[in-house]
Amino acid sequence: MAWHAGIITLVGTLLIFAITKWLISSTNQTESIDTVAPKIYGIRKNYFLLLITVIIIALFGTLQGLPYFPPTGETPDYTVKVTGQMFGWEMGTLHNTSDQSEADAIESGKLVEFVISSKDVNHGMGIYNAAGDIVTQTQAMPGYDSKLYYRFDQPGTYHIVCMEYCGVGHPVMTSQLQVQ
Amino acid sequence: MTDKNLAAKRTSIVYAITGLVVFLILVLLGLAMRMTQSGMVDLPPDLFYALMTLHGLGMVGVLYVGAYVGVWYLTAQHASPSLGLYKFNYILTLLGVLGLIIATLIGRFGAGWYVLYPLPFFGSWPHWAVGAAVISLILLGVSWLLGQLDILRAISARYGFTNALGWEYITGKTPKEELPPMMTILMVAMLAGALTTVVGAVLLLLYLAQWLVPTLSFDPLLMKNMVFLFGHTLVNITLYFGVAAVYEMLPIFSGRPWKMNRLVALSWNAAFFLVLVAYFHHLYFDFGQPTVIQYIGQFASYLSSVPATVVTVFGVITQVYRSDMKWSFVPLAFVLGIMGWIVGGLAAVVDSTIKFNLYLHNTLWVPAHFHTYFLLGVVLLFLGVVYFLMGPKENDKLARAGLWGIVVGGYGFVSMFFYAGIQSVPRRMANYDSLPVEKVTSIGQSTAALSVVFILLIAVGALAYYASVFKGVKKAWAS
Repeated sequence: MAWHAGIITLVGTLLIFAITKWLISSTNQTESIDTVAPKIYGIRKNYFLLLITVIIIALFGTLQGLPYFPPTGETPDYTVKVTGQMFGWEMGTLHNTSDQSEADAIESGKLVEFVISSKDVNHGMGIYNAAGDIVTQTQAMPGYDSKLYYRFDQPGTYHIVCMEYCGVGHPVMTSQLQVQ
Repeated sequence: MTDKNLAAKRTSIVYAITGLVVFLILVLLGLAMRMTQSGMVDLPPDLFYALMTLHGLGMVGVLYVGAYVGVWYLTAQHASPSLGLYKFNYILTLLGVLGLIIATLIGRFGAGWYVLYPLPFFGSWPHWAVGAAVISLILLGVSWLLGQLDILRAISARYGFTNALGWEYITGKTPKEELPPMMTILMVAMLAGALTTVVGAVLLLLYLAQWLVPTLSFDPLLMKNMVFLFGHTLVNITLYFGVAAVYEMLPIFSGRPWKMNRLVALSWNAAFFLVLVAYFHHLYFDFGQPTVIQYIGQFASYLSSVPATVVTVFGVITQVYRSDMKWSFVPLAFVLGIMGWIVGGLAAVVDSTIKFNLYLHNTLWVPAHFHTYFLLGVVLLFLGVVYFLMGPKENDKLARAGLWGIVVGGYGFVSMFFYAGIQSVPRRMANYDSLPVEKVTSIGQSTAALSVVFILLIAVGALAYYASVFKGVKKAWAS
């Protein structure tokens, strides 16, 4: 998903560069504002309609499946409490959500509910896969529980990295998560 | 030139020179940070974070004040902002900056530029450093608030409060006199600034209260909302100041009037509301926020692109397209600055998409986008205004070479941030050695090393510009 953001920004940036270059070069010729203005206002009207259309489509396309809710209303398979404290992560006991019994390990393909908080300052819990990409994240704020839902598709070791600057030990505030 | 105008110009020159010097020093702090992240040098983390805090607070402050100087000087051509307050604010700003230097470099206060509650009270720095930082920020906040209120007063006295907001144009009345669009932009920016600076003042007073009475504590989510309502708006109105200068000054070079009309008035009035709610995008991953607020954050952030591009960018295009523009330093810096503002704005809108933000939040994408609209937006606009104020009127080759150095170095510099952000490299790391994720460590260090080259190019470009512009100071000072 981050690559999509990068490609959109790169293409947009190259377009903005091209328009700027074209604009600067346009002064090689001169034309009265009386004839220039109507042409540009016509383009502006079309641009406005296009922009509004793009915004509406983008809002519809992106404001669904947000991380604030479990996917499609599913009940999570596991619940685990994670607490940040300068400069480490305390992982609570992993529970099967159905009967609150203790679970041995997270199995891939099953939905996990992380209940994340902090004992001191704001932290950020970022989960990285083996390839080194963020797969999900949220803030850990003192006094608040953030419920984050994630389904690990692949077994293996996942790394937890603090994403919110929390003091001199911020870079060492890491942990691991095993998925079977 | 009257004595008062000359005094105003001289005060602006003093501000501008101070701003240019401070800017370069802060660039060098950035250089030290990227060198540390690359592994070239080994700064201890407490020093790294103190430098990071000074760099961040310093840059936000110097660019705000620099932009304020530009619009103060331009406002003074139409209305009567207080020269006495302008001078007083310079002293207050210097005191605030001095306090921050003491808090960070001596006290090693390192809570970052937005001093996120309650980190200041949990850090490794001494208690006095927290107080020094908070009191310094209060001094700066007072200075900014007074400056905002004074510009509001001056413009309202000259044009009338609602007229200056462009409401005559919106309601279709015939204005008694033509209103320069800059006035409406400044009214909107100063109003939003004053309202949110008051919020910032309350926030800082709460910090001060907890510093004095350590048993006090406040709700972290409320405090975070206050921090970003203040900080986000401050950064945005800094951009608006720069854009206001373009509205006012580009016609001098294009020979085409940039007139006020209903569309311009409507769009800037809309910007007032959008800027006050777009900050919600800073809290997407604080799940204590009501979910509807998160939706509003993305909606408002997307909508912000409408007035910015439909009105301002098309306004610039109408000014420039096939005009008789000669590409001397000032219009070139303005057009490139608007380009940087839009590129940075695009990256910000992309990041304001909750689904993208899930992967980009607190990665290096964040400094990527704000360095783009600051370094390649506001800074270029500021350099244009300063050149207009005191640069030599002819032979601006050296300044232009410096400008291109900053532009090429700047885009190279932010590209490293963007690429690393896409690769999930987190921001605000004193080093990348400690991270257990090999790819992140490797890309974090290598992009930081490449950034060093680009920062040096920016610094050389800045020096070339300074060498050019300082040649004109004597003449500008005299008349």
